[in-house]
Amino acid sequence: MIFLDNASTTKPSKDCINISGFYQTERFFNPSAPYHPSVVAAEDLSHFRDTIIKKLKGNGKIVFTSSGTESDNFALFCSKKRNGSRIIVSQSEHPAVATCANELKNRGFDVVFCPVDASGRVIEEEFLQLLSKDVSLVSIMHVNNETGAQNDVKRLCALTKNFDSNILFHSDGVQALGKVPVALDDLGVDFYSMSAHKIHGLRGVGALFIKNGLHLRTFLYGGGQEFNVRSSTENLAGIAAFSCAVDYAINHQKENYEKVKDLNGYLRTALSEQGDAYKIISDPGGSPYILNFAMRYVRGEVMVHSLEKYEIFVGTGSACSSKKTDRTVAKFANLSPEYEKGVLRVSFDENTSKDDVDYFINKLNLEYLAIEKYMRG
Amino acid sequence: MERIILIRIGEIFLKGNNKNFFVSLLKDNAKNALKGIPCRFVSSQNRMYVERYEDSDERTIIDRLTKVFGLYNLSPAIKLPTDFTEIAKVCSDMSPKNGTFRVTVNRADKKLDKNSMEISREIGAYMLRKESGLTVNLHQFDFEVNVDIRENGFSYVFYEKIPCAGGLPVGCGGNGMLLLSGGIDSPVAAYLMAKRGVKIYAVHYHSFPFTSEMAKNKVIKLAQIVSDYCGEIELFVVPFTDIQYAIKENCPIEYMITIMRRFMMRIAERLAEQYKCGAIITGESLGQVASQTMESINVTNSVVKKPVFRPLIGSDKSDIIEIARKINTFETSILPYEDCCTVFLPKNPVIKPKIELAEEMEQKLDVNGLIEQALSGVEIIHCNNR
Repeated sequence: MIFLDNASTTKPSKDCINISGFYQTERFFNPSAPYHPSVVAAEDLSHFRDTIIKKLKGNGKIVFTSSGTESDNFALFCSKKRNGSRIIVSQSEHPAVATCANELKNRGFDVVFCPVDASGRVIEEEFLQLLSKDVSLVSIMHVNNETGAQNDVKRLCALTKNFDSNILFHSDGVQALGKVPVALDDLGVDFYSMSAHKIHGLRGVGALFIKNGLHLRTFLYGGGQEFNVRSSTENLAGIAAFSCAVDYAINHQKENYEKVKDLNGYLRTALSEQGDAYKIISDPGGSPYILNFAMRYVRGEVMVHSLEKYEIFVGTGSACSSKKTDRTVAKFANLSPEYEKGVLRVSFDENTSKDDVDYFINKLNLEYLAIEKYMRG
Repeated sequence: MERIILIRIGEIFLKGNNKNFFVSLLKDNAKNALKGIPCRFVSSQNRMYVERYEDSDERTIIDRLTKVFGLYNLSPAIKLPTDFTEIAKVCSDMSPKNGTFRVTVNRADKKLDKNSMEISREIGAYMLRKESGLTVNLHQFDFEVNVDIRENGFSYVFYEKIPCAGGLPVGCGGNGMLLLSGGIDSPVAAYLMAKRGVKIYAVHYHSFPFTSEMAKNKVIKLAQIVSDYCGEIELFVVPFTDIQYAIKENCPIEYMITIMRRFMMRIAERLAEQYKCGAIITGESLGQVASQTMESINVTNSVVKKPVFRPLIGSDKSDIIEIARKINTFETSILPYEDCCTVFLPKNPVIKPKIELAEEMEQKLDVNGLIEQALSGVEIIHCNNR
């Protein structure tokens, strides 16, 4: 099997599975109970929290959630915002942010979507135009989930704070964590969303970083866990695996980045050799983990299914229907009609090999030729 | 004393010599509907009873039985030995404590020394003595207590008659081969023909990789939902991509859908012969799309000899949607997956195709070879909800 859809999820690592197994079978205790094994579990939880925050060089706290989506919802809905104030989000945000923004618009906020370039990257000049005294919150993703486009969050955040230090800055870091350098203090963000299963952790675990001195309204009421803002019995097994995944990903970030960058470049070259058949959407300056391109005449979804028979799995980077025409990539990538339904997303992990890429490109070309002749015109 | 469900079967079709055939079919269908629920199914005279079930299963049992074609109505009831004092006590305990009521007794056991009027009066009197908030009103009542005294020494007390699906028992009307697309119409067509007693087989044309595994699963799901009414459906999934390629390569694009549908009809008829189906069933509704104009239907119909049943031919889309909602297929039908007809959809499909032209175009195709090839790849899926 060649799994090239790592932006959707990754295979959990053995270490993550082992440690979560330990917390599911041996140290399964509820960290909130008063007896000794629970006290130990609570200490472990605190240790995992510290590990992650240290690895990410953040001056603040981590609240564990159930997913990246939940972290985004938490940040957008529970951050302090003046009624009717302006909220800036980018045009290429993941639905976890974009749909929250739409809901906030329904609730009376002045939500504005900052234009992005053809790779999905926020255009700085446009962003500056949108900053005003009315802005209370900015949410701009670190790495785009469809194209890998990387926003200069540090710069955008600094520009925002220079304009008005009271504006809160959130960034969805789900596709950035462990893949590109993430130092939260250096980025300067107030809130940062993360997810465990994109870095070989388990599904059902996410986190929101909250900078020191900031407070969020309570998101889930209940027993008071997670600093009283997000009640629920802690998913200690998942959190242990998350901590383990962060530890690995940050320790190997540089070497994995270089490796994947080579693969990305290799695939880029191979795709370019096919002339007009493929149009590369991803910007070379983005995260190398994602390479997005569009095929001429052939629908992305059809190619996904065609490659299935070789046990090659890639993404379309969008919902699975041709009837759903509001695909984000198609919106900003300025694709001509022959290409607009043909978007494919290849996403690597550090275990992807050059042989995998060769096999993929070989089968892609083969299937493309077989289908394209029926789809032309 | 126990809770049971009393089922009445439609009488209209019970006339004549076929009665035993109908009743035994109906009994089997009703029994099948209750598969997986621990209970006892009893049939006597023109009635059936479900007994010895867990109280928590009662809603499920009722829900399933109301979908069995041929059943008329049913009543959840209390079964107890025929003893008037006991019956009166149960009636009193079970009834509301206020309001107007009447007692209706049906006495099948003619050996008893009291007639039904006398028994009603006694029960009513007992209830009035027990609860001061009750008054009798035979014509305008808040609730009716029904007491059914049977010859087997047992009586049944019930309050409501829940209507069932009506129609004829599935299987008594022969077998039909349905073209099941995944849209809104074809599951409704299945429902309507099953209501007339037709056992449904279904064929679905699958165009992998153009249509996805999810689209196929959606069709299976639809067949499962409809099987609540039709009983288990054998679904034939026919690989259709090569036929579409051949048409695309050799025939004018505006006839794409017309010729595709002619292949679908031919393959459906082949399967119909194999599975002893007397008719082909489609969800076509006149004029709904280009392939459902009278001219198109003539051209697609002309390749088969078996009758084609089109129960929706005169229905408006809104009427069809209403039934789809009622039988719970609508939400699944509108899931947005590609179906094989939309893959190579021409911009301007022919609205008034001609048989001679279609035949001429098909000269370029190895029609029989393509059909054989498709049939050799058929996947058979048994769809039911049990």
